[in-house]
Amino acid sequence: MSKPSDLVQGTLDMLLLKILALEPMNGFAVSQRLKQVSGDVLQVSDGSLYPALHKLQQEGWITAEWKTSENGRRAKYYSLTRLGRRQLEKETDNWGRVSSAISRVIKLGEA
Amino acid sequence: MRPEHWIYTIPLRLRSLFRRAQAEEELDDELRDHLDRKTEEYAAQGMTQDEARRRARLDLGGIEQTKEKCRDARRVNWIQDLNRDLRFGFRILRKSPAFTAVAILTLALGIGANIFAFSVVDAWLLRPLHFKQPEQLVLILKSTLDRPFEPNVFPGYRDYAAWKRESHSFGRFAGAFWRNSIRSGISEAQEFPGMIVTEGFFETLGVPAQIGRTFDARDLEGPPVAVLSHNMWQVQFDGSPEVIGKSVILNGKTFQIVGVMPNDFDFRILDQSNRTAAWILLQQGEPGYDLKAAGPIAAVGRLKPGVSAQSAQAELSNIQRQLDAQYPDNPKGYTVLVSGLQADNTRTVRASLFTLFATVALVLLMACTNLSSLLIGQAIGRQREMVIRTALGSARAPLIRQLLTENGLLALIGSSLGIFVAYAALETFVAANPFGTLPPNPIAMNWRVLVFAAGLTVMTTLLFGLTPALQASRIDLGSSLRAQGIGAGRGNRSHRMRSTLVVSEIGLSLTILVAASLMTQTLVHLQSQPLGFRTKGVTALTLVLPKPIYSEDARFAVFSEQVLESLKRLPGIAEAGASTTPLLSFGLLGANLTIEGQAISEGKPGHAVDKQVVTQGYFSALGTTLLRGRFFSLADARDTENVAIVNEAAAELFGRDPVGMHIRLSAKDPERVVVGIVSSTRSMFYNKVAWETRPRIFIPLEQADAAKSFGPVGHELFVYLHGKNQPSSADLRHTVSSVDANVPVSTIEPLEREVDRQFSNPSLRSIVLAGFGLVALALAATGIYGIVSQSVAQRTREIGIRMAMGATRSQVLGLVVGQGAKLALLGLLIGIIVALGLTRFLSSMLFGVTATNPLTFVAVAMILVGVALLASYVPARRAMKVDPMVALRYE
Repeated sequence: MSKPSDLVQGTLDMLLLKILALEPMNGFAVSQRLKQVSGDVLQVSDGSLYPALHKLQQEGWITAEWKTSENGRRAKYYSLTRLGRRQLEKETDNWGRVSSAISRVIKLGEA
Repeated sequence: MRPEHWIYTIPLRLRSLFRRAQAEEELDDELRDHLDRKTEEYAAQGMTQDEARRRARLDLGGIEQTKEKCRDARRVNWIQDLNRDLRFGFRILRKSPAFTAVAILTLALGIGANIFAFSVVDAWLLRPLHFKQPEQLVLILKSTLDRPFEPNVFPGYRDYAAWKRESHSFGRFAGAFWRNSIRSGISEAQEFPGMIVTEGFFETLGVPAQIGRTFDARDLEGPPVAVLSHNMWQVQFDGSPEVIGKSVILNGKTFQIVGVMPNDFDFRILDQSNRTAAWILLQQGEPGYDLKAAGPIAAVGRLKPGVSAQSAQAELSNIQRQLDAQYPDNPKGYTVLVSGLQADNTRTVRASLFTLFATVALVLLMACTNLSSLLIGQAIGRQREMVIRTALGSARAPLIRQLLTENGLLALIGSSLGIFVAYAALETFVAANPFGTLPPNPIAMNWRVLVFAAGLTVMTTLLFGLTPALQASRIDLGSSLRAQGIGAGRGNRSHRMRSTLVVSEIGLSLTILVAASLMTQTLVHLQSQPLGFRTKGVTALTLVLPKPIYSEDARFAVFSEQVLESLKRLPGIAEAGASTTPLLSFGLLGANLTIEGQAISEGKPGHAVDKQVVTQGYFSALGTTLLRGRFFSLADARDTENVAIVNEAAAELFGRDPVGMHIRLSAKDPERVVVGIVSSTRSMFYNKVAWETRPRIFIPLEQADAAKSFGPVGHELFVYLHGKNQPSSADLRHTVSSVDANVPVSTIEPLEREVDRQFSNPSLRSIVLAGFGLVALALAATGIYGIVSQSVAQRTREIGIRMAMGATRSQVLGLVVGQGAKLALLGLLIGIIVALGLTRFLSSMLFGVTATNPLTFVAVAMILVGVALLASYVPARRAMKVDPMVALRYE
């Protein structure tokens, strides 16, 4: 069974890094932003979002910090590290290469 | 992994490992916060509160499941990785048990030897002495002008007094000298090592008494006082606190005990530990210790802060120059030597310690290089595994990590065994005491040693494991899959380096083994020599006759006969005799023999002979053969004719039958008539490895002037008892004390053991050399094995082709073994040249064998060839088993 949210592992990492590269935010905001920018296509279930964030933190690509949010609640804010930035560049590069290769293959089939 | 990566991840991982509870709480908070926001969002879309909350939970897909996934994501990966690597490593190691055993054994020996050496160095050099701020303490002796850094003589008391009076470099200044004590007034007198020290000695060292007090100024004029060592207190006074204030008779004088020092108080002059039992105070009126005289004394000073030993030495040298000018009778040609106390206490052992440490470090380095070469050999065999794992997507880092884990595993097992090896070596070392002295700090494995061991393990892992791991994981997928096994050319440089190493190992082991063999032959010769006296069934006792009672010839002789008579009456004792010098040493009493009728001139003043003063029972107790004439008898007394007995070697000096001839042993010695000739016996010179026979003249104790050779404490009498049954030590001591309770027995032991002790240095040398020789041999063997098996692994395909083309198994065997043999022969050649050059320096330590003994060289070379062939035969057998089909299938 395949759901639209079943993103290829690694792609999700890249998306999360990309979102956090803009500004530090908490997990809830990340999920909102993800939905918002992908126009609901890339729905990441909340159940896989948090483990993914924790994994990125474990890799040292993002760090977390407890801050008081705009409405006075304490929330865990994630932000990109230097390493994370480098990782993002690497993955973006890779993605560009792979996706163009794939689209060439797909077009080959259509021709 | 890059190190900068670790900077981020290590704290995180440690946190998740050690601060579980907090991480868990934060996870809770985070998810609750998420649920709250999501609920609010849904509620804002118009749902009821309950509905909104339910949806939010659904989105999260079960809070517990999500939590578990988060925990998974954080799980401390390296621990899991390590676990997996370790399990895999164990499997790999179990798969090649021979390799594993060799590797672990090599490491255990190498690391064990290093831990051992470090423990010894630590105890001698690194741990501070047990005094207050020991680095400020210096010991002051005198040296000759041409060798200013070697202590040569003890300063005289006059020097000491002037230094103390006039110097400004020292906060405190004191003096000390060895002075043994004979304790009497108890059932059996006993002799103890001791020291005589100046007032302020203990204050200079900064150590207070454990109970009671140390010396102070009021003791200088009062009754004699003594401070006991902890051990003396425990053994002689049962550790009773009432010991303070008690009297003790030492060297015939009554001392009051004022204090007991703590157990770890161990002050040494030079590096000789005499395990001082009692310190007595140098009081006014002590013979030899006043401003007119020069009784020997070592000065110990505490440097003022900021004053160096050099500037103190300069100051004292100045004072000494003025003093020497003032007193023309001061000995000339000496200068002051100030050295740190610990440096002084390690003067003779330091060189040995550094040699030991350098040697074992070298051994470990060789072991690591060997292992490295073994591992490279193995890695080539595992190249396919690496290639496949890489092809399946493994990155290089996990491969290196995997290989390093395996090596770390080896190093860990090796060093754990090494600790046992070191422990055993330390026990043996302390028991054998090869330096003849042990450090004040006990030689033991402490936390420092264990830290050293741990560091060593890490270092060795990297040293022997990193190169092979890097090499094995450096895999170019394309070319490796295509051309397996052609990589031989790549290792050419490292191959040549390892070959050089193996050749030098063989050369080294030949040199060491030749030396070891020469030493062992020396030992055998020494032990098999007929000595000219019996050793079986003879007990040797050393008595000390205290000076105040026996420094008169008549009493000395009378007591000797009395004590021998009593000992002879013990059941089982047949003969008893004594001498004033020990049987096994030469040259203690020299004499200039002049013979009646032989002309003396300026150029030929007489014959240099040894003189030995003995009682009439001496010869029969030792079973010396009488060749002519008679032994001494009780009739040879003070007032009868002076007599002498000569040994065979001395008899030759007479040129005719000596019996009845008149001789003199010095100008002052009375004329003596020779009454007998005895067979020669063999003895040893101090520090010389050889039994020798020298011309020796014996004179009876009754007619000797023993009183002249009394020291400040007493005179030794060496007693030899022969009989079928030897009485117990207690009986012997009791018998001596029943004659005079003031005479202590300082040693009792079988003569055989005393003879054996003469071999302790030669046998230690042969054991040490043989040990190192075997280690070098083992290293050479593994080295050859490593190189040959590596090349077999690389050339599997080539061998397959050769066999497919019709090469026979024996040709393959020759091909492979020939490679090992070539290395071995080159090593032997070099080793023989080196050994011939070096063993010349051993000649002074050899006896009964020449340093270039051809048989020894041939035998050792044969052994080495055998080992080399064996070491290359094992991989050669593997080469012979190569199936051409299998080898070629990988084309």
